[in-house]
Amino acid sequence: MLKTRSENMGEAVPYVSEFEAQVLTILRKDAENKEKVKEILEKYATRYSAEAGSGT
Amino acid sequence: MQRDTQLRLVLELENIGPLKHLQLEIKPGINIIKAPNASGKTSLVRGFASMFSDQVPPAHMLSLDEVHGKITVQYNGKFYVKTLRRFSSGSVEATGTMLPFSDNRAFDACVAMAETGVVHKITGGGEVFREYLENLSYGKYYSTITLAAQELVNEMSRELASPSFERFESLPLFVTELTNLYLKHEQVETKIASLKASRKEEVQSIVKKKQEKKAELSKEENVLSELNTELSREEDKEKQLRGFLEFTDDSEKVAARIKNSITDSKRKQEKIRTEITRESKQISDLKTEVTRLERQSQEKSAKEIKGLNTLEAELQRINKAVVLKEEAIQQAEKFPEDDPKYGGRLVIEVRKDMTRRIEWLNKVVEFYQEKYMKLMTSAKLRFNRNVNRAFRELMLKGFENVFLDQNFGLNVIRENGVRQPIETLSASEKLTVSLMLMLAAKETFLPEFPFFILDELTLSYDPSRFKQILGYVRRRVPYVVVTSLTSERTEKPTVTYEA
Repeated sequence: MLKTRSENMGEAVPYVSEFEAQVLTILRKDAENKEKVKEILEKYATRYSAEAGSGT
Repeated sequence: MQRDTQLRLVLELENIGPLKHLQLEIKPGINIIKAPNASGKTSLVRGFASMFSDQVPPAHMLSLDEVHGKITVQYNGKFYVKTLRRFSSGSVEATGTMLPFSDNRAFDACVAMAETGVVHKITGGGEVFREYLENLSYGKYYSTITLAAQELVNEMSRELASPSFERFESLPLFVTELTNLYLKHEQVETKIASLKASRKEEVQSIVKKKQEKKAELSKEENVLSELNTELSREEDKEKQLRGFLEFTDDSEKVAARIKNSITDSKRKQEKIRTEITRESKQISDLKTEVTRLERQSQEKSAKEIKGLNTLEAELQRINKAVVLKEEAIQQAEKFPEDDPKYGGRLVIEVRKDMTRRIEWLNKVVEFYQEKYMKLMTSAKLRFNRNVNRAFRELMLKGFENVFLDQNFGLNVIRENGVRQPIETLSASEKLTVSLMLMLAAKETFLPEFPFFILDELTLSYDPSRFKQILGYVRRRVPYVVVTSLTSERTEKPTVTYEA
């Protein structure tokens, strides 16, 4: 079956499922808690950078 | 859903608004709560709503003269209790359990009161419902993620444009400049060495010439010495011959021979003397030449090399520039040790790290933007379909179509096909549109939520249309709660039921 662009994108965004699960838990309590979302985004961005940097 | 319709719900309020204590039962069907003005109808609705949504601020519920309050709901054989506590600072905190069908969005979609989003918005002439749909469809989550990621990208991009990173951008230029300085340094050094070598060569040439002349002088002095010896010998010989001549009586022949020999010796002496004179002159010339060369060599060694000082000054200037450039390169390559964020780290490493982080964040932005677009488009389509169905089913006079356009702007099309601005609708029409939107929102996003509450919205409303709307709601929602103003003198709100 053909996949939609966002489904393909999801595969191209590392850790997106793990990230989304964490973020939605936060946002369900407070949909505008942008600062906490930023914290989690930074955590995964740092992880991506570290893993991309080490060539894994 | 069928199960909910079988359940009764008992609501008990203590110190909520003007209600010191109230217990009432909400049954499946239409529950009409009647009370005169300022007797706690809205407080009751707020108190009940707080059991399924945390959008009601605790301070809006607790009686102003009380420090404790309580809301208890008995539902499906279980008790759900929320307690309110006022602190000395004046703030009010709520703790407790929520009803099993709790959903924060229900306050926006299922509680129609003057302060609720849609009613408040439409009565205020608001036309754009993007945020409303964002909240109900969870699109808000995606827009918050997108916004947060975009902000981080912007923050990092701004940081990458800061002086520390800008210096790094100039690094190739600095390295080129340093290379040029080294090349220039080499050129000047070569020039200096060449000038010095040339001078040395000149001096060496004079010294060599002087040595040659000295050797020649020495040779000529030997020749002179030999000449002097020879002259001395000839003089001795002449003297000896003259002695022979004085004592010779033998013959004239012998005397003549001696005289001839004396003459020969004299001639020879003369010749030697001439030779000595010539040789002495030559030696004198050679000595003069040696002295001149000696002086010339000393003068040449002592004399400044023309242009050397300028070149050496230039070399010093280049050396200073090299030091400065190397410092600049070091600064551009590495953060200072006292940098609070990146102290001692290589700029290239930090830059790479930030670029990779931005790369991931941009992927997130793109992913959730698309997800948001899809979700919101679908939400709007379903919402519009339900709004349209409600208007069609209720056959509300005066409305041809009500829908959200591509920008989530609310369009009200009258029967003549003309679009009417929201702010020009009458108060009851605004209320009708608000209720239709809320019902559509409930059907679209909270189809299983068992309650729909209308708080005192009937004051200026056409009773027959209100009844028509209530009937429509009742067909879709198990429990309908309506508060209504009454002129009857009652201390507490009372509830009547319409199955």
